[in-house]
Amino acid sequence: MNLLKLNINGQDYVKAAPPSMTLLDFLREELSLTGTKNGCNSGECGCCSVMIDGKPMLSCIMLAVEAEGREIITIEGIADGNDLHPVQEAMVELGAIQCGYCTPAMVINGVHLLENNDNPTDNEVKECISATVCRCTGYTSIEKAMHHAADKIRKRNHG
Amino acid sequence: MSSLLENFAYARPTSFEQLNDIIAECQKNNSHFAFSAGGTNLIPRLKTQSLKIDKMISLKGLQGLNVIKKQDDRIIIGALTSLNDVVTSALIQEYLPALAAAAHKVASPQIRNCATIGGNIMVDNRCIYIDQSSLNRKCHDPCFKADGDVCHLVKSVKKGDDILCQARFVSDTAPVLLLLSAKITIVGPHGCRKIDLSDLYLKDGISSRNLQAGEIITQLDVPIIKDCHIYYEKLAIRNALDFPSLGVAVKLTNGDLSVALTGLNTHPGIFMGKLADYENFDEMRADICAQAMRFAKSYQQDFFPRAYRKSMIPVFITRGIAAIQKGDRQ
Amino acid sequence: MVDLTKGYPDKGYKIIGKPVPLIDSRAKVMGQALYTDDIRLHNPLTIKILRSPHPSANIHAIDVSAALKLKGVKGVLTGADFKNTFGVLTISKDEPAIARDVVRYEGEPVAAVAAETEEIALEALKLIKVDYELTEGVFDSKTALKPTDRPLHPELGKENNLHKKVVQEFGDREKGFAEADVVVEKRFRFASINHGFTEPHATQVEIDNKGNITVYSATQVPHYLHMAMAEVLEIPQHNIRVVKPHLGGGFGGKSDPFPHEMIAAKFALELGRNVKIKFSREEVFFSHHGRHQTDLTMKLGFSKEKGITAIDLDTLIDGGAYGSFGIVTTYYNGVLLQGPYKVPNFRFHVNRLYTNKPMCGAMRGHGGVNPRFASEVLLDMACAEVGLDPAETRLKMIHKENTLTTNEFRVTSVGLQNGLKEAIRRTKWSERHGKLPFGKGIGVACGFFISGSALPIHWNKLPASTVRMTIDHDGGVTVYSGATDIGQGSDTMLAQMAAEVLGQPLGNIKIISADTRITPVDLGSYSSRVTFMAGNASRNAAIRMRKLLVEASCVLLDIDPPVYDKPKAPDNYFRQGGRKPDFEQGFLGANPDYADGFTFEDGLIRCDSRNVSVTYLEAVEKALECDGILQTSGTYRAPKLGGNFKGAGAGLSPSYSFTAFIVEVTVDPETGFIKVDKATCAHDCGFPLNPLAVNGQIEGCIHMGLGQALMEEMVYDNGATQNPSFLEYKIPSAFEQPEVDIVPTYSDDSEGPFGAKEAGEGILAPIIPAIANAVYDAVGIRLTQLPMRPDRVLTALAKEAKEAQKKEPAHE
Repeated sequence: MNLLKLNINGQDYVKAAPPSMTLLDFLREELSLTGTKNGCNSGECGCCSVMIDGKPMLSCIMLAVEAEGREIITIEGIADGNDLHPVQEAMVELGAIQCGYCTPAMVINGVHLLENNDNPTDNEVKECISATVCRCTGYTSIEKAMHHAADKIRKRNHG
Repeated sequence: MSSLLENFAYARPTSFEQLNDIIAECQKNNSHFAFSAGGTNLIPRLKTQSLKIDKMISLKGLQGLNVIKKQDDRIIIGALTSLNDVVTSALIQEYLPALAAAAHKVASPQIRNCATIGGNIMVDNRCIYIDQSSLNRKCHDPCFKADGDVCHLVKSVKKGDDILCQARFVSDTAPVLLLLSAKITIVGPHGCRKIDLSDLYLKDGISSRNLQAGEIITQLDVPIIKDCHIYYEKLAIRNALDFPSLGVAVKLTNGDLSVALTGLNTHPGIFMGKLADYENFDEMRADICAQAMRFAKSYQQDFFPRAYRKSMIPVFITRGIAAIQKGDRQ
Repeated sequence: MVDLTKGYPDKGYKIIGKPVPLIDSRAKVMGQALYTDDIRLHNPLTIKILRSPHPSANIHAIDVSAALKLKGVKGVLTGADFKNTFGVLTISKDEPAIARDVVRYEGEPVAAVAAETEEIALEALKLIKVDYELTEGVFDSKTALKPTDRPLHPELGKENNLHKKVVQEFGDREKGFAEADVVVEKRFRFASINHGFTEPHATQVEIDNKGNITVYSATQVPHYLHMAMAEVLEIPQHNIRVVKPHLGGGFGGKSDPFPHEMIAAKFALELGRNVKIKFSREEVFFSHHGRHQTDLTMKLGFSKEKGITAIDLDTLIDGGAYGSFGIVTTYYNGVLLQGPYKVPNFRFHVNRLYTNKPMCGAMRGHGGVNPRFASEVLLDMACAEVGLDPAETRLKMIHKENTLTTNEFRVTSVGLQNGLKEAIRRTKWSERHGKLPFGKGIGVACGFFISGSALPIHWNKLPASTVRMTIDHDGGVTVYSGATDIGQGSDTMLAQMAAEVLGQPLGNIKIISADTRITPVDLGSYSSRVTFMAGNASRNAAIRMRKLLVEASCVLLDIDPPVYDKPKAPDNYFRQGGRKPDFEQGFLGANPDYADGFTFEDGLIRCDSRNVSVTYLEAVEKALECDGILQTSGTYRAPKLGGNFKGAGAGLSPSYSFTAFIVEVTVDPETGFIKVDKATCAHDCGFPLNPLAVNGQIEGCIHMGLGQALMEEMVYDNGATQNPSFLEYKIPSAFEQPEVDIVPTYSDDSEGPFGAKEAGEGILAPIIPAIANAVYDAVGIRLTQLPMRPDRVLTALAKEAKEAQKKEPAHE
């Protein structure tokens, strides 16, 4: 059993964990950071998306030990205290949240897209959410929310 | 059930010496090990227990394998370069746009952030009978790939036959790289060698890669070919996540037509034609199509029925040619 | 931002009819909403289930001794530990918590382990030895009909694997077909479909030192689970508390009591420990309960003058290993064809079969989806043969308001005609249908669905829904309801009811729902009943509360309390709602008119005629003085409906929704790929309580219908599930979702709360045949098998080309 030190949402956590533990299990079971969801445990539904060094990756097919030394952001680290990120605000406003199980992953992927490209095309938005399964919304309102969030972020970036 | 991974040890060497030491130790102890790059192919396989290991050796600690650079008339791509870095690289978009396009079609954005180009050219062959959980595999007698003695796709295969397994090749990037005559550098305990990418692939679905124990691919060496246009088309029912049910890369270079295939055999197929050898372009096209059709082995191991997948080969070849002639940029 | 209220009548409501983000959106978007597996109980044991790898087998022996000896294993259960079988329908309680002696499907539980860690539990599973004797299985409906001496369910006393046969006949079929200008008939085949919700099943059980258990479970039906669990475990109901945490999607796949829930509860009771279990995605597929695989032959008679003259339908539905909701599905496969058009002569014969596969149950649109495909495609064919426009024809045929169907469904409000008219206009239908270039097509289809079943599954006289309401000293309102929010927003809907009636901002309303210790009974989230029934109950509770506050206000203002009009008799059989409440008799009815001469607004309660007011808080304080508690309840009971024949209850509903889709497609004739470019939808849900939520349901139904239409299918190989994963079971991605245009459509329903009808399920069915009809318009083929895979398109195109060649006159 190794001691793992992971930097999650700006905080260092040190816990013993076997090398075979996935990052998803480390987050949910060791740290009770349950915002990141387990939908399939096989990298096929996107619900376990987290940000690693600024890029969305699937935590259910990544070992916790492989995330050492990297900057991990989960859904719990997106809002600034009680202030929602524009992507989160937009998803709430546009009704892009029904059961909410895919929502953390949608937020992670959306934040990554829009913080790197605040004027995405329709296709870029679709691609950003294309591999996170949403069975409730049919993606329509989520796409609208991403574009609405892009508006907010452009205003923030350019005044 | 595919929930927890079975326990294994983990090592992350930071030099090739360390790597070789670890490999030597494993071999001495008869310890079954596997290399991990992005892990996006390996870890799902470990979860289904279609592969069991004692030790995982991560290659991420090795320096210099995550790089894209131009060297004279070649593009050098480190094997640990992520697929998304391949997609977004200015160099690759300029000189090898079809490779960027093919890499862009792999899996999903999240997976592409993590998966590597080396991993994709090495991606395990797939079959509906082996890519199941350990429970679901128990529904059928174990097949050859599961250390059993039957193939559920080809019932006539017996132990001792040359080719036991029809698990199919599924890399999206390999067809384009093969048409570009890419070479790969292989490093192992016994030294270093450089081979044509086409020599990496063997014909059996089980031991399908021409690598010795302990060897890894460190880089891809891709020539920039003048007047070379490649178009890659992928058959999948969805525009996200799916492996290619069929993938066809078409290359036109000064009127010569070449085609590479993925998804319809245990290894990729490459068919090269020289216009000078034919009466006209159409005759060349028809012959290349026929070769590809003869090569393709389609089994009922996919969403699309077997006959349909094969029937799309000439359609995709024709479309690839038309796209290139029209100047469609991928 | 688009104004979503545009196009709907302005009824002067403050919060009803407004686009309202769901009240738990913020918690969900921050990752703070707790789903069942997110809950952290004290030191729970982890449960793992050993599942049969064989679809059909006898269990000769099961040896758990080695597993029990493993350090960290606290208990092992087998089939012998459970005496009673269960099922969501009282008439179909055929499922054991753990297989006993016989395995009926691959993935069926044969043992279960509770251990200190997941790792130990998995290790223990490997040590359990099961001695299976493989037996010949039955894997399709046709084989299941054949006589056998080893049926899956011998307790039914049948000679084959028939579970349920329903035959209903109305009018005179022969006459109906004789009157037709054209009779069309086709065979159709539908694959089994999985719900595909993203949250796998999960259950956690907490036990106290007196043997009371709290069951946290991802369930759509806490009440049914509560009752079934008491029966299976043979303990009093009041020792069990069922709580539904946030739930990640259901669509009918979590609307039964489940084996894993019984197993978890039993472990907790026997071991005196908290326990937890969560499914892998593969286990979700083994559990299934999805849409039945269906083979149906339908014959439809159509007359230019009279519309549909007759429908005759023969159907086999493959139910898998157990009953689930299957008996209801069997009825719904026929009765739901009684709308959206009149069908004067109608016969259906549906057989549900048992097979050795994961069981099928209720899935969004329940039993109505597959026959709808058939009838809408056949209708299209009939129109084509007689040269009538299929959209205008449908427009004429849609039920008029206040009409009885042939099988005596009471259709009340219908507003689809205007919606379809507008959809026809917006899509430029008349200029485009039959006129687009080859490969481009536009198609239409309509549907109809229940707003909840008028008759309960468990026959009793309880209301269909009861809501309790209290007000705190600070004026905050709490609504207690058994209604189960599965992501569709029922909590928000309940809050909107209270907010509107009491003139309060939405943030002042707190919801406590789906907790059987605290909330009164609601039957659950299935058959699209919650808005109509729990919504009415919440509204009624709020109306009673309003009366208390009005009375308190009058005392403070020293004025006479209002005289409440006696309720008049219902306008007619078709309009029984909207009457004055009868406070004296304590009967409020459905959607009562609560106008009392007072306005609740901006923190005040004002008597309109005298223009005097008190603050809401003053009234609350005054009202509290009397009993120390401000508490009311409201209920909903469906009116007495339906005919007197056997099976008349199936499909009876207090109100029906109506839907039309016009869909535009591009078909690639070389690859056979169908791309749905645009879907225009008109859905009559009466009045949308929350257009943001209604639109979300429309968009979600489009996605799910498109999936069944184009790519979703469960694949079985002699009972073995071939594609139990999100990789191989093809749920459409964002790239496949079409552009969506929603036509505001409404009608005046007297009984729905504020006029609302369902908007959860009915929308799904018609999009699938609309796609098929658009494909016909595009490339001239009629697809009769779902999914409409590219290879099937090419096969149909080739066949069509061959037929066309044969028909061509010989050339010189």
